[in-house]
Amino acid sequence: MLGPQSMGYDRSPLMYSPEGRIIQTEYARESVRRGSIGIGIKSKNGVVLAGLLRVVDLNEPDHKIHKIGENIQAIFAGVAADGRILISRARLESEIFKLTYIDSIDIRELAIKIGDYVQLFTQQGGLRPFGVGMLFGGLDQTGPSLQFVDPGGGVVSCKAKAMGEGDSEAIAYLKEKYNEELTTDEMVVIAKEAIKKASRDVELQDENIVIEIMPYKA
Amino acid sequence: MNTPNFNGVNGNPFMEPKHGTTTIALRIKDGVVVAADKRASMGTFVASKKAEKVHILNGFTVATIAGLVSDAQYLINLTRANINLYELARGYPPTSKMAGNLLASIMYEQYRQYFPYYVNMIVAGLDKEGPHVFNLDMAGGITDEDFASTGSGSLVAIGVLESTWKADLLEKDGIAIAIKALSTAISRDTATGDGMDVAVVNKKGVKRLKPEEVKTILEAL
Repeated sequence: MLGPQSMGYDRSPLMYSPEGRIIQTEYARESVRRGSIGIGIKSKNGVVLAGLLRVVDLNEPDHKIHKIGENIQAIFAGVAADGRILISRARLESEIFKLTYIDSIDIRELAIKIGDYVQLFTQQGGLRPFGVGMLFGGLDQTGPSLQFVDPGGGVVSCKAKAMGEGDSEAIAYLKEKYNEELTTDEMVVIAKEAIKKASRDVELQDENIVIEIMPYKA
Repeated sequence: MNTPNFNGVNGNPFMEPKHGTTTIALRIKDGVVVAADKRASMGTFVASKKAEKVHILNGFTVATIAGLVSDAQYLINLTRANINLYELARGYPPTSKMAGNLLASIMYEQYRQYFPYYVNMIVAGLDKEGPHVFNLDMAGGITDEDFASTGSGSLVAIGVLESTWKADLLEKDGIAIAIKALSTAISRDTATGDGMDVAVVNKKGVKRLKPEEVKTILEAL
C-alpha cells in the first residue's frame, strides 16, 4: 500500500531515507522548478542575469532581479516569500561586511553566508527548507563571479546557470552556446533565447524578460 | 617646549576626546556648504594633520564630525550602511532629514544606556524640502539650523557666521563665508588648523573643493 517514499522519510528534513537522501530538500528543489526561470551567464567580459517576469492578472509585476550591493545582483526562482527573506539577509550581510572591512564582500563569500543560513533549515527541527534557488552575480576582487545557492544550502560557482520552470531546456541551450570569451551583448542574446527555449510554446514579449548587465574590464 | 599631554579621560590616553576641531555648515540658496579643519589633537599634541572630518553619506547628504574619532568614524560607517540598506529595499535614497534623524536615534539610544557616543555631528544636505543643516548633540538631540558649528573652535566660527550669514546666499558667497569662519577659528583656536576641507551640496549633488580652489578663495578674502 505504501511506497518506499511514504515510509515517513519524506515528512521531515531531519531524517535520511534509507538511500541516504533528504527527501524534504528534494521537494524544496521541486518548488524551485515551479518558479519562473532565472538565468545567469558569466564570461571574461562580465556577468549577465536574466529572468522571466510572470504577471498574474492585473498585479504589478514583482521585481525579478534584486540589487544586493554596489556590484552584486541576485535573482531567485521558487517561493517568492522565501526569496524575499534571503534577499534582505544578503543585503544585510553585505553591509555588515562593509562596516567591518570597508571593502565590499566577495560574491562567493556572500553566497556561502546565505548557503550556511539555508542549510540550517535542513537540519533544525520545526523548520521548512527554503523553497528557492538563488543566483548571485557580480564583480568583485576575483573578477566576474556567478554563484548558485540551492535549497539544501549547497553553493556552486557557475559559468552559466538556469533555474526554474524549463531549466533543463535552458541549460541544454546554454551548454551549446557557452564559451569564456562571450561579450556582454552576446550573453544578453543567449540569455533571452534560453528563456524563450524554457518557455516552450508560450509567446514571450520582451518586456517580460528582465536583464541586468555587469560588464567587466580587467 | 610643550610636552604632549596623554592624560586623557580617566587617565586613559585613548579616551582623550580629540575635541580640537572646528566644523561648519550653512544653508545657501538650494544647497549647503560644509567645511572643517584637518587637525586632530590629543590635548596639546597634534595627533594628525590630515584628519578627515567631512564625510559624504550619500548623493545629497554630508556629515561633519567632532569629538572622539573612533565613535565618529563608527557612526559614519553605521549610518552609511543603514542608508544603503534603505536605498536597496526601496529603490530610492533616504532624504537628508531621514539620514539625520536616523543618526540622532542611534546616538539617543546609546545616551540612554549611560555611555553616550562622544561626538557632536552636523548632518547637512539637500532634499525635496530644501536645504537642511542639522546639529546633532551627544544626547541625540537634533535641531534644524540655518548654520551650525561644532568643536573647540565653534565659538569663534559661530561669531563670524552669526554676523555674515543671510538667507538665500549664492554658492560662492556661502563658500567664502564658510572659509572665512573657519580661517578665523584656525587663527584663534590652537586645536584647529592644518588646512581645510570644504564641500558643497547643490542640485547636482555633492562636490568637494580642491585644495587649490580653497587656497584661491582664502587669499581673496
